[in-house]
Amino acid sequence: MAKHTILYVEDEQWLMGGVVDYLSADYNVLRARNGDQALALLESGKHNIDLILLDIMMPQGDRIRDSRRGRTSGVEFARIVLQEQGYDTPIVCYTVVNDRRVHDELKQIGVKEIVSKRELPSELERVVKKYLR
Amino acid sequence: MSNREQRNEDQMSRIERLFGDLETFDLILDRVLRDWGGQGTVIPRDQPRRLFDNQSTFEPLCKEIRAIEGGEELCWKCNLERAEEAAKEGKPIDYICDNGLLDITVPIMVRGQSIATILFGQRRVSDDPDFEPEAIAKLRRTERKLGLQPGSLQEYWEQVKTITRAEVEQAKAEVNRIAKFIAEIVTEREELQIKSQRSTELERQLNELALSNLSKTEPVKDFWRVLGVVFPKICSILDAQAGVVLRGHPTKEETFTIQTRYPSTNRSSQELYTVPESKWQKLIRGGVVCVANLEESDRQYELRLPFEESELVHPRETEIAIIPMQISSHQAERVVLAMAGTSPPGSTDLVPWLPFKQQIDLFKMLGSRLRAAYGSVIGQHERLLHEEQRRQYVQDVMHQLVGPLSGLRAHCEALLHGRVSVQRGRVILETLVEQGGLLQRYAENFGFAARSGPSIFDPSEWNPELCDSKRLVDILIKCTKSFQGQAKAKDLIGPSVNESSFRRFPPLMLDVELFEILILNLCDNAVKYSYQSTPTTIAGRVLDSRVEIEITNYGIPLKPEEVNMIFQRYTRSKQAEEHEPLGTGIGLFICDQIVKLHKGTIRALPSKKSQHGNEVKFIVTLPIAKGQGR
Repeated sequence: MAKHTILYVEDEQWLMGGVVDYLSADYNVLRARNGDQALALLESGKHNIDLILLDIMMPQGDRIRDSRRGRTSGVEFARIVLQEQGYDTPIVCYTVVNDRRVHDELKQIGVKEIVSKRELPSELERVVKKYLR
Repeated sequence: MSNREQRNEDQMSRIERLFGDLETFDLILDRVLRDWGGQGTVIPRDQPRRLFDNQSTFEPLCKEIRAIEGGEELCWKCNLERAEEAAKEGKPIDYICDNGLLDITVPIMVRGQSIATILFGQRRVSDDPDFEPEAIAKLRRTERKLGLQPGSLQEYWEQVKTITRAEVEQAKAEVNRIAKFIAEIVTEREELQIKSQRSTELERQLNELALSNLSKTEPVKDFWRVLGVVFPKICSILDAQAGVVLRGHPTKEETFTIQTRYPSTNRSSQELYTVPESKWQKLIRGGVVCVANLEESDRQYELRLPFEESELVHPRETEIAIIPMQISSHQAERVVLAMAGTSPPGSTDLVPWLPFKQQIDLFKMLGSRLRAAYGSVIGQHERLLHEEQRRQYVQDVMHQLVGPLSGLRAHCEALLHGRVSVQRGRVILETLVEQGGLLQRYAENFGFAARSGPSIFDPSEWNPELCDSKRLVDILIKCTKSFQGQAKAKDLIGPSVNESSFRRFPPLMLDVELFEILILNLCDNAVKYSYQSTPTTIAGRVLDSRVEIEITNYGIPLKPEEVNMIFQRYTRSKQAEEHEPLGTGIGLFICDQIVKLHKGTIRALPSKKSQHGNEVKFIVTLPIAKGQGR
């Protein structure tokens, strides 16, 4: 059975390395350092992306910009992907942001689940699996 | 001591309270009555039985009558009836009293109402044929009322001095002038008292408004809103023809906001202007207001304000007086309150402005209260700002630590669950060591940043040692090695040390521990903000009495206006914030503090284009150790 493909958008390279190491055994993991890179990968059509794993606080780009100087650029990315461009790719956020207002906004946009970075990759994998059946 | 001096203020009549300086009042009346040669008193309308002792003098006839039981009461009844009559008439009247003597009552009229009556006379009229029959008839009636034999007081009556009808009229006119003068003073004082009460109320309102706004998040903005409401009220109370609030902020496009009010011309109560700096000395044009004494000296906008009466602006052409008052200087902000009053055309001195001039003290008092209120608002504003900075800082610290710590745990779990190859596992262990060092540095930085005050290092923490060039290069290389993993992840070249550039370096006095923190922070900065596949280098240069250590990388640009502010606590460049939302803005602040401890300087150069992209350079300048020059 072919592996599912996950697009992981994260600017913290050290964390990304650990998560990718963990998930790579069972999934193809594509990396993007910010929203712009992730959007380009998505739009290229070269990869059949089954799920997007998304950080919230990321550097701003030319296309993904937010009013809080990157503190909610992941929210803006999710909005463009799900609402503006109409993708139905499930998005799971993996973030340190615990602001209820941001969480509510993400849920409203259509983000499937929000996992705290306090959780280990094993817990993240458990959540990811729910949306990759 | 007179009885009057022993009275409490609340027992005084209105005229006594208003007059305040009763000695002066006494002197005026004494003089009037003495000049005229008559006897008299003053009857306050609100407390008619209160005699003004010094003026309550009596002819022997009157003394005799008053000594008899019921006599004094009789006299009082007569006096009060006539005083009331004069008050109603609103002008002086003369009459024959119950003792058969001519009396005059002159009301002191304030705003159409009598507040007291000057009562004097006790004379016989020599040239009026109607006087004596009526006077004698009245005297007989009094004798009957007091149970005396008819004619028993005749002898006393005949001893009373005489006066002509012309002298009566002259006395009436003269005392009436005095009464009007007193009325003017009383009116003026009453108005001032009312205004003072209103301004006290205004002051209370202002304080209340200012205080109630202190809990809000934008106290300075609130203060200006409050002032916008309160200042026109102040102008109205002080009868100013125009009130001006000048608010200048040289860093904000060099413009000044002016609020004006012109009650005399019914123009809108508040107008906002943005006045170019070039018009600073002619703030309101059109001959309405001209602030001539505001002098600009260099770009600090230092105002020379005419506080003294002699310095009051009195422009001949505009006929306007200005009392400017600087109420604050928050950061670069300059604020002036000014009030304007008109002088009659052609006047050459300040005398015609008397009513306006009298308000100056009140205006100054209100100005100082505003200044105090503004001061407390600014204090609160700065506390809130500081609190917000700290709150943001603590949040950022949490975020900055959680990222690497999550990475550390993720790697450990990958190792633990056998998700990686043995070879990859070794790499992970190496990077774990490096990341541990990074977290250690962050923790140290947070510790330094938590210290307060302009200088976070205590001189006792300064432990310098002499470091030759070899030692210096060793330290630099050791520091750069801490970033190998991070640099590799971004495919960076370096950070590397240009060893040959340090070869001729003279020995430096360095606190090695702090110097390492300095270099680690600068390298961390360079690696964090470098673009993929670009070099980061450290090079040295020897100058006359100092050396320079340059850290160069290629990455997100630094604007000229940002090169100084990035060394301030909690401050980051706009691009840095967008590039790396997790930063705390303390690394370069700590660098600056460490360099200062070494009696050196640190500066950043605005980025410039190069073959690798935007070149960003940080230069640390350090003094050469004494006696170790080239």
